[in-house]
Amino acid sequence: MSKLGIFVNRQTLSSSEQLTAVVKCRDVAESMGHTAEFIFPVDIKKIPRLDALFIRANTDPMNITYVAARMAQMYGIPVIDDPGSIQICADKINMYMHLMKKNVSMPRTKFLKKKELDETLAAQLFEELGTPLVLKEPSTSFSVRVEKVSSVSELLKIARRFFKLSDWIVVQEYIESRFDWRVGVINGKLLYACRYIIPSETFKIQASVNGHIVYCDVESVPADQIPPEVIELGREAGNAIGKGMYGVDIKESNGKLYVIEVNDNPSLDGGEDAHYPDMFQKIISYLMTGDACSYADELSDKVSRPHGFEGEYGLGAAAGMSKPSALAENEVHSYKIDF
Amino acid sequence: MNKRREHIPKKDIMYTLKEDDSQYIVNESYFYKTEPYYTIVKNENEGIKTTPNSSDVLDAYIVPICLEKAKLAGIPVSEWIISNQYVSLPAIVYGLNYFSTPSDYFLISNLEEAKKVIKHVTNRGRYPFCYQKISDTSSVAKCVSIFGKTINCCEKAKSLAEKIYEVFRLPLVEIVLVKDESGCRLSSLAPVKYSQLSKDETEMLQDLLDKRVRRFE
Repeated sequence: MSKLGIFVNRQTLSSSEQLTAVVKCRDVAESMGHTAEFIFPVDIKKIPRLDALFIRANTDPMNITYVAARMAQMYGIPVIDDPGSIQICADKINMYMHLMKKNVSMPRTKFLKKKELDETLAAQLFEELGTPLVLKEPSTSFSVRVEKVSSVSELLKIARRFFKLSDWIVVQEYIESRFDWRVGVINGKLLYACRYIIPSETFKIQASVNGHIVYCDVESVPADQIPPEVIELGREAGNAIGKGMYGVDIKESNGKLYVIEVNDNPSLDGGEDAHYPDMFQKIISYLMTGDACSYADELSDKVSRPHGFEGEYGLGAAAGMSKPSALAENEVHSYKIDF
Repeated sequence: MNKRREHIPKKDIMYTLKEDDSQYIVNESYFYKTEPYYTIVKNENEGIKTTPNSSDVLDAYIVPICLEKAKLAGIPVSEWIISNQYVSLPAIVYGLNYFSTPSDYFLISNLEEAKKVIKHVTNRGRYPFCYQKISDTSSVAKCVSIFGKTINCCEKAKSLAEKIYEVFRLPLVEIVLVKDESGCRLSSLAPVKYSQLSKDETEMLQDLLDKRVRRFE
């Protein structure tokens, strides 16, 4: 019997969907004969005593999840997400550099440095990459600090705002599409796939529209209905980062596929697994034994069946798509600070 | 202008020293998402061996990781605890969030100070914090390490600086130590402003830059 730690924080538990997902993960681990416990930031020193750690909280090198991941790595404990993946994926500059190095198909991208920003360079970027452009502050997640700009003055204004948070930012050609593929991969193999249906009011998966947050819809897609090119690109992108678990966002435009980003710690609570009931089992199995292959091979088998890649989900099908649906702090002689 | 004057460390200037296929990046700080950090990341992606590397930099400036990594390398460290609300006193407190830096540590010895400091470093409970329990007789000492070398520091600090450079590879770093009757332990590693350097330290950095640059050119 092995001991799995599921690292969570207050934010994870504040959403009923995320809470349901981590409880499901714990139940699956227990059904596989493991013990599972939630690890909170204050429990970080328990990590060396675990057999594996699964991080289910927003990851970033500057937050406590990175400490948890690095602790696990230093003590040889298998961890998803591993610190290397967090360091790369949480930083769009580093992530796109990795994709470029492996020639993964992605929108044309430039890195803009704070010290280089001026009107001439801004105009040059529009000339090179077209109009509109997308600017991204490197630590963006859930489309926060991602902006579309159509003029030099707009670019300068947004860039100056983003440069308060980072010395380099991302400038990218705009790829229009009504949905993103999200391909979940683990150790280079397909784990699940779904489509994120972009709200009509925006170009992002989550946006504030007239003061209201609008979210994309999630539509799980069976393995035998995913275009093979989508799976292949998802795997290539995952492999460009590492051997962990990633959610690869892919857009299709004019018959060409582009990786928009690779997410470590992909969301698993929005119905992504509707057609993949064994998803948590495979994640846990990979963490505990380093093997998610049998499940992934089974999926690969499904996607290579005849007529698996046509119809509703084939490339170019966007027009015909349908809308889917213990904490204990017991330091002896310590003082509690109330806020 | 002679070489020596060319390499006087100037505020906000990053020095890149090239040696065969590898580079040393010398800068006041190496924080995440800054120009030096991205220079290192770019080099790594282009296959250029760079000192420090990007994960060493993150390890060094995130206090719990810094201390755990140092401990595993045999360096004596202060015992650390991550907390949301509780603290044992007296203690040294560090923030653990985007806006914190190991340069900003707080020595607290009573509950009133603790309330004020912890509200500040946690942004009123939003983030966890890291604290190190110290004794009533503890004091904090700092020394600057330049490629693992120190000036005017005690023998113990000198030897720690060498070990710390072997483990973290930061060309320029401030070592924060806790000293008490049981010895001298690492508390954190922090950035150093060139203006913080003593005259002797500035000269040492100039010499090292000059020697290396001459060697590399």
